[in-house]
Amino acid sequence: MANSAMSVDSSRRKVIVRSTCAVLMVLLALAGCGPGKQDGEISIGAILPLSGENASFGTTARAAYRIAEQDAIQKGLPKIKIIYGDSKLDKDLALKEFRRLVDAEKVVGFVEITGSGVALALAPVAEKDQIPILSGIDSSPELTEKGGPFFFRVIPSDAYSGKVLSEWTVASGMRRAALVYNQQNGWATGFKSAIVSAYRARGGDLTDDAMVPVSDDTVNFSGAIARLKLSKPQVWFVGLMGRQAALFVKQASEKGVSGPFFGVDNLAQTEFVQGAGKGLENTRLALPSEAQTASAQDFAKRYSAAEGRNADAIAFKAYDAYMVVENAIKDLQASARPVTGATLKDQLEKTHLEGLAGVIEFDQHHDLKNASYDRFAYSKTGEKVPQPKL
Amino acid sequence: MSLETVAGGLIGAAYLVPLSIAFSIAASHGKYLPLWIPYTGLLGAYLAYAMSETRGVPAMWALIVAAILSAAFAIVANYALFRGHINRGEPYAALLRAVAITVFIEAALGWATHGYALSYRHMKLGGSTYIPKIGDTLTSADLLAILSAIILAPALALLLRWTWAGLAFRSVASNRNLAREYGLPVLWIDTMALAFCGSLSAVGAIMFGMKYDLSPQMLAEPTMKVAAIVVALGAEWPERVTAGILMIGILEAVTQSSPSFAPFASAIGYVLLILALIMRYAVSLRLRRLQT
Repeated sequence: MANSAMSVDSSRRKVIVRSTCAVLMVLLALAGCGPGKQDGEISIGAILPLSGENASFGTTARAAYRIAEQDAIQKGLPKIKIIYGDSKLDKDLALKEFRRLVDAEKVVGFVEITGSGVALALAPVAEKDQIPILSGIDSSPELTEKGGPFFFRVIPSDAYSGKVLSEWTVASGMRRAALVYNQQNGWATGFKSAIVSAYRARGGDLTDDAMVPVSDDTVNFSGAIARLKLSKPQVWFVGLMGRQAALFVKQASEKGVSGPFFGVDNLAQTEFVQGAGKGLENTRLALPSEAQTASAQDFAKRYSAAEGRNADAIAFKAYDAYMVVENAIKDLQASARPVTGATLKDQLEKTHLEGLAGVIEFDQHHDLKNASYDRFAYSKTGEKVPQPKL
Repeated sequence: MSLETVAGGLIGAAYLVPLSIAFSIAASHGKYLPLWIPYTGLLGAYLAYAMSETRGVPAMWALIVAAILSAAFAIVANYALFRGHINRGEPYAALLRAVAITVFIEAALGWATHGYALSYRHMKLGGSTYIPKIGDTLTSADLLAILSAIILAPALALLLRWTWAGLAFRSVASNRNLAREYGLPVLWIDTMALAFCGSLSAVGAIMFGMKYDLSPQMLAEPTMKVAAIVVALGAEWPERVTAGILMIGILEAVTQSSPSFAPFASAIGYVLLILALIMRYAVSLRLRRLQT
């Protein structure tokens, strides 16, 4: 009896061991089936939110990279293989993906790490590993100082946009403001700091009571709006992104608030335009200038044809970021230097490139040297209408 | 605390009532936390979007088809994935499967929509009026949500306590084997209960989508909130669950209206629920002592 029980146990064990081996072999075979790296290809990472609440940021950038890849091939630029990591805009997940891309995939740089808070968390690690990060979306003013020597961006800091919005509102006689922001979002807290310092410096009245923080999962803003209405603001600054910004503006409009609502590229997102309802007409935004060149228009046309929606500021900047990395690698290869994280960083510092949105050059903090903004309002049909320069 | 704040919180919370009732019925029926039930509604809401916004199906038809298909999904999923665990009284295994379904549905919808939030345009209910006293615009959808909050829970409570169907449901929920031995049609009651939960979830999710737009993650936080209320107040009392969700809606709005406390708006409801749970436990302990 004992012998038969032992033999059943041993045969079960054999089955388990064989099944495990079979599964491992299948997994190894599948791993080998993926598109491998071709000769001469250089791996570049991109850590984006490709799933979760903020996935639209990632999918927009990825669509822009696809167009940029085609253009790079046409122009005979070096072969780059973008390896994606999904961060869900979460710092811990982003760090995990960073390690995977750097250690296992051997990327020499990043064309994007989405999210100012995420970038702030990863900047010291990137500095330690000597891996440059380029971003087309992280605009928090904190990154100027805390981004470190390996962080670059092709989007102006919100320190600039804060000044632009403050000048715009104060010059228009709107001297009393309210602000709502997402306290859990690195970009939003940076935007808040930039607005507070710039608006107050220009004589605007933005008291602590007129600022309400909300969290990632807030969708009902009734309490915040009721509170902010008490301060009788002449201007409402919106430090929320995408769907949340749309819900806030829509709900405020339903509560009789006529705005105007001011923001930056957060109010240019497709989700905002589709969801803001009647509040859209009372929205004003300052965006990094988009060049009206043939290449910019061609990109917008191709993006729209491929994705079925208009290219927004994120798409333009993602294209520019890709091209900056491409050109840096091309210059490195032309001078017969190895393409490593350190050499790529040195080359990025020398960048001088005509991007879709103007000339791209970096200052000593690796922020854009030339930041210019255009001001827009929305028409009833959701088209951006340029506003006169101040 | 202004009337505007209270009204805003109340109206916002009223949109969660159909989902809360569907959740509490399914929880009472299966004796576990059916986190997946609101997600059957989410599927219905996206289906309604696809039909009305991209195929031009009239809104009413889109709503009916979405409700029927959500009900069918709930019945099939319950039969295939949860019936065994419910029969064997395994709440944790059922919860694990429920979590897996929610994660899968979120991921699938995120993949299908590239993560973009969507807004109903054709499915909007017409008509709205600004009420100066509450400083808000009352839409037809708001009225529908308020009416459902007022009518649905008491009606269901009466149905559960004073009708044969309610008695049969409670019997099956209480002891499935005994109910079967007494000749109650357990499978039929399962099917009807899940059909009700699925279709009510679809209506609830579509209403929620009308108010707050559609996003794959839109029900994650509300579902956790409803689950917490069900744990604290008891799944077998849908009217208490409804009252709980409305109270927490008001409390969150009031907290949000104070800049100092606004960061804790989402947490305040949970704190209150933990207190309710402790009180419930203390009362039951006292009753037990009195009995002995």
